[in-house]
Amino acid sequence: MKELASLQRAFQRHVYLPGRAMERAVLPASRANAGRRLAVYADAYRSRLVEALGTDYPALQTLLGETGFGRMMRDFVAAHPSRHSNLRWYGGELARFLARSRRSRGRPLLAELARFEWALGLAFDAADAPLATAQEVARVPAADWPGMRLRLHPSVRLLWLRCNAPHVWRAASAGRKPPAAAMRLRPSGWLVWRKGHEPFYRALPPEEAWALGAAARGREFASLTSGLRRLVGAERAAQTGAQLLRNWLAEGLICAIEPGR
Amino acid sequence: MTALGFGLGLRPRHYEAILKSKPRVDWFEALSENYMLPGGRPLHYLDRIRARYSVVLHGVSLSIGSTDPLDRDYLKELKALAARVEPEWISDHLCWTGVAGRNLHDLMPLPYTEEALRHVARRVRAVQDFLGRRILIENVSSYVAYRDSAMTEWDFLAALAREADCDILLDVNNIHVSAFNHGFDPIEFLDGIPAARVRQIHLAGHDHRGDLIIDTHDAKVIDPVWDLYAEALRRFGPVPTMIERDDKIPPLGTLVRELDRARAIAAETLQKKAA
Repeated sequence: MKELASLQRAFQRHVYLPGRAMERAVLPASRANAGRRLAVYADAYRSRLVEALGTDYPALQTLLGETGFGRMMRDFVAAHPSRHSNLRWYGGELARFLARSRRSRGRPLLAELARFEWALGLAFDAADAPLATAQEVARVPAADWPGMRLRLHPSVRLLWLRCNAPHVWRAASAGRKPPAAAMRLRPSGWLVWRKGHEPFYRALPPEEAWALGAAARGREFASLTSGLRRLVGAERAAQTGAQLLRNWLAEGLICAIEPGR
Repeated sequence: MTALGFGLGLRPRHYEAILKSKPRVDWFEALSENYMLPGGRPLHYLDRIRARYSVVLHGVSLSIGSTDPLDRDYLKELKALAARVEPEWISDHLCWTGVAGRNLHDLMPLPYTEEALRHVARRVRAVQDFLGRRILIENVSSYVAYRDSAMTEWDFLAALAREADCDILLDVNNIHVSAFNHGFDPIEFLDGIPAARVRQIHLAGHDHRGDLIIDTHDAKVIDPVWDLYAEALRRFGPVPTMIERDDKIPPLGTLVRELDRARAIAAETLQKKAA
């Protein structure tokens, strides 16, 4: 296996960083020399991964344009050899890359738009789960409400964004001119999840963002309402908690109500 | 044609059309990796289509020729998917896709050496033991031939089928592409393949760039490939055949009509063979 292993290592090195060394291992041919033949693999590698990133990040591609996107994604591909057996997961590191890449310096929107699009993608093929219904909640005895926990649907993602990435995404996806990048001092909460087969998203008011985050962390309902006291006042906390729960059930965010222990 | 008949590659843009129009297609080939997902729309449609059609699974990430250890996580996912889909069979390619834990996401050619043959045969047996079934191995299109190679691609594939006790998925387009790129006779390739092992045939299009043919799977099947298909049928008999389009995917009806041409060629060729 020694020779096979060293051939594969050499070829892989060539794909990452084309040079002349690999040509020695290849039979010369009258048509298309070794360099040209090896280039087919090196070129295909880059274009295949860039194309896959375009599928994962269509709005980012629209925003940057074909050329700008291609240039930026080639930087990413050069810095990130794939370790995934499934190309589906290759682009997961893009937001982190864009947050510190030289090319996207001064454009924090790009990394946030990537985070947002990746979250939409995760929602698209997240695990399926049956949804809890309002009737199930109605059956929980009042005495058990404080201790109950909400299990969120596997597609639910909570994002904290400082830029207007969702607005840019919506415009780019609809073929409209995206609004100028805008940044806030404090991040705001966004919810991404799947309804039926389609990913959805919406902005979260601060109290809902907090409560949903707490529910995602497995906090009991009583601690949700007590946390809400700080945000909406003691007199509205219980009512807000109950209203949020109704909305979440109607929107398909909850897949189980776990009784308190 | 054997029970399975004529199929198409299952592509997301056709999901709705398949369920609505119930096309003249006997089976679908699903790309395994596209359904190795937690849930959502792809698996939903796969289940619905599976309820009406036979399905086979076709992978691109087995990396059967790699000198890295077999990817057990990948194999577990594949086995779980197979339990869900109950495919007629599972196939992947005679290639390697990466080493050192990395993936090039491409079907990299192997040198046709005794060393590689023993290595790949051992791995095919291990995969078959793990999956509890025989798999099909497909010939790939290639652009380089190695100095190290000591046998032809078809001798390698035939020896692999024998030594690993696996079956063969014959991509007739890939034979055409590699024959041009490496200057061999595609008929000699067909003659070297053991008929009893050929369980499935792929047909596809490609991109002729003058000095090389690039296997793009993004165009219709060309006449020389149809001719080679007829030659394959004369040798291998009624083998389940499908058209595999990976890019620039046309409406379902276009592919169904192209598949009709395969049906017609098979009917004519096999009738003559019987006569």
